[in-house]
Amino acid sequence: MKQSRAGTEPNTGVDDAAIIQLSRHEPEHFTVLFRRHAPHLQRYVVRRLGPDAADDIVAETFLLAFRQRDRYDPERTDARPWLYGIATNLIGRHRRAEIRLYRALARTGADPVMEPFTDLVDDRVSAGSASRRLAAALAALSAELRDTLLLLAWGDLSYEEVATALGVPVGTVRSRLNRARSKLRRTLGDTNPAASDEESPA
Amino acid sequence: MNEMDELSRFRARVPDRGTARAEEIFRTALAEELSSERHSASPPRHRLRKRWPAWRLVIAVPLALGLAAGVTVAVLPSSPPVLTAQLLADRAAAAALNSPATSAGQWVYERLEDYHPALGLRGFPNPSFQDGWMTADGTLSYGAGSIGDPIFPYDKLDSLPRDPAAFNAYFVNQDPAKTDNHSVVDFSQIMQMLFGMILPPWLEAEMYHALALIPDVQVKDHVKDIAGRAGVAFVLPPTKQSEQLEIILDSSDYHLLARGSWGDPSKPATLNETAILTTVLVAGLGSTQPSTASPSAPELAAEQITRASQYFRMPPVFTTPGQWLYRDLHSGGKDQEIWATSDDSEQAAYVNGTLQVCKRTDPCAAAEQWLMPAGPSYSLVFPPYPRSGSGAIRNSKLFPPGKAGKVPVVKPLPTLPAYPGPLLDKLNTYSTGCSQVPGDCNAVTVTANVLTGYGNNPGSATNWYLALADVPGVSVQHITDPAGKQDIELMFPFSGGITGILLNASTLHYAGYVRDGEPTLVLNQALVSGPGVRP
Repeated sequence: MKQSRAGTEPNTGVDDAAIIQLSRHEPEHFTVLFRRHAPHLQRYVVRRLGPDAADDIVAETFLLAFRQRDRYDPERTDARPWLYGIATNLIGRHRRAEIRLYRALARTGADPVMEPFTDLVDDRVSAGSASRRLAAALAALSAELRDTLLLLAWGDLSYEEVATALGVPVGTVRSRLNRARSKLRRTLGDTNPAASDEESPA
Repeated sequence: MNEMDELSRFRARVPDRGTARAEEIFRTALAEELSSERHSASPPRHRLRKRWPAWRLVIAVPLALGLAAGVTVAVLPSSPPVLTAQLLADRAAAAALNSPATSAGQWVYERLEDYHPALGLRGFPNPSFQDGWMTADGTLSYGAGSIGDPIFPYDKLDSLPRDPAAFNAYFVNQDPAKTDNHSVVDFSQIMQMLFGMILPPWLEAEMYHALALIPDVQVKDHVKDIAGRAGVAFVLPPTKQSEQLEIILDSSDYHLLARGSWGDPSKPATLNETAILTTVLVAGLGSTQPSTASPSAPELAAEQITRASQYFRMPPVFTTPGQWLYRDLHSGGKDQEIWATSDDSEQAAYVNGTLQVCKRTDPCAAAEQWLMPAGPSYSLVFPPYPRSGSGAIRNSKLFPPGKAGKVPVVKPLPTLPAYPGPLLDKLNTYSTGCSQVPGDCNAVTVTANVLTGYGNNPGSATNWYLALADVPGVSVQHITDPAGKQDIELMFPFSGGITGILLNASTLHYAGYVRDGEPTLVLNQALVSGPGVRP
């Protein structure tokens, strides 16, 4: 039970950089980092690739991070950009699978990513037309535009954090986001012109 | 709605399924990596606390299933007298009440056998074996073993209801997911506590009674655990919220043998099981010799110090070998300011108002009183994590072949023994000028040297105090030091040399040492930007 577990984790108030430093000598402390960031990362990967691939990718992200922990910049107190950057590379290995999943949804209206959960989620209704068009648009984006867009929208990273994760300047993140958004708008707007009314790109 | 809103709703209903499976894969891969990398014989240095995959047990999604909650205690026709859940609970509870109670701070050694089909598929050993040590009060744990990762806070065990029915209701009320299959909630909670913790006998007994009260619980006779031992089991049949869960007890004396879960009981390949091969009270960390003796005062003090230095009870201050440290040492009524790098390869002090800096390799080194005159090198005490090389990793789903199969491989670096006994033996091999070598005098002096002379990263080398507690004749005293502070002194029965190690009684930080009757106190220690710079 989560609730009774809560008191057992060392609640440290210590930032990620300190934990990574400590784990250089005491590797088991790295699991603190896992507990801290895996749940959100897991959700992010599930949304892109479905639950089965997500378990492996999350595990491997932390394993690769563990191997690189002596190169971690201790100035960076929040490890999320680092972890999401590693995860992005791993997700990239499954680019075709990801696109297949979007296309299947666009084509059939049934989302294979949600399929394993259908006995858990109350609505089994097929996706609305907006979702299907969105899926088609996501499938059509280049990998770098999709990574940028989804790290912002689903990963909850800031522009600066996405820049760190992807190893590009912040300006690049902004311009990629603009391009990605206008592509999405165009696809969504094909049958729903009202969708693209307001909103200049951030 | 704009495209970003649309995007944020897209697949937003993905249920939160938990990360237990990912964590299991991660921990197993990590354990593999560390054990192959450290190549130290036995026992394992690192804690690979293994957690029962909770996601299999309770999926944290509220469901509206409306299960019929009839009491169906199944009875197997195999052997007279008929074994019921109630009968099994009575026998197991009686056995639990006859087991020895543990005292606080006492060490427990555990050996587990683990069987997970998923691990076999990934090329990991299956079954795998894990050894671990933990204190019976749950405050310290080393090596493998689920015991080090309590599902319920140890300090709240006494507040649990002492009535099996109220006990079950308590866990249902506490369930954050509000899973409406209460049988699953109670069975999995009890299973995890029984196998994950060292419980007082009264509580273990109560848990068996509580199991028998859970609707849908059955008993199964003539079962074997993965270690091949004959047992009887409490069984919760599979539901939408969980796999089939089993708690297997020894069929002759009803002690705990194993816990299992079956995705599909008709398919052996879907079995996950963890068997407890050994649980025994031992004399200390690293020991496998049974001992029911209560821990000594020095052992309890060492455990207290170890706890304080683990889990970031203090803000971590990390040093690297070349980092300069300022120290204010107080001895014989005088203060001395010394600057030194963390590895003590360079020292500096003001002599007649002039800063003099000396490296160990310089001619001046011979005249210098080094903070770290003898003992293991800094890199042996605090091995830097190996730089990555390149190499192929096994072919598995986690490490697929091809370019993805090229993952950095690390080489082991020499380090000191992890467990108190071997560590003490190793430290005693350094020559520190002791006359009483057999009494671990060298080891004590080396410890004082390392604590005083090196920049010590918190959380590291915590087992050194547990080693000191094993020195023959050691005792614990509470003293007021020359600076007026309350200290705990670990006192050693040597006629000369270092006879005491001091720790601040409230913070449990290292405070100094006593040599030839004269205390040397570390009044202040801080990272500074270079020699001669005061904090």
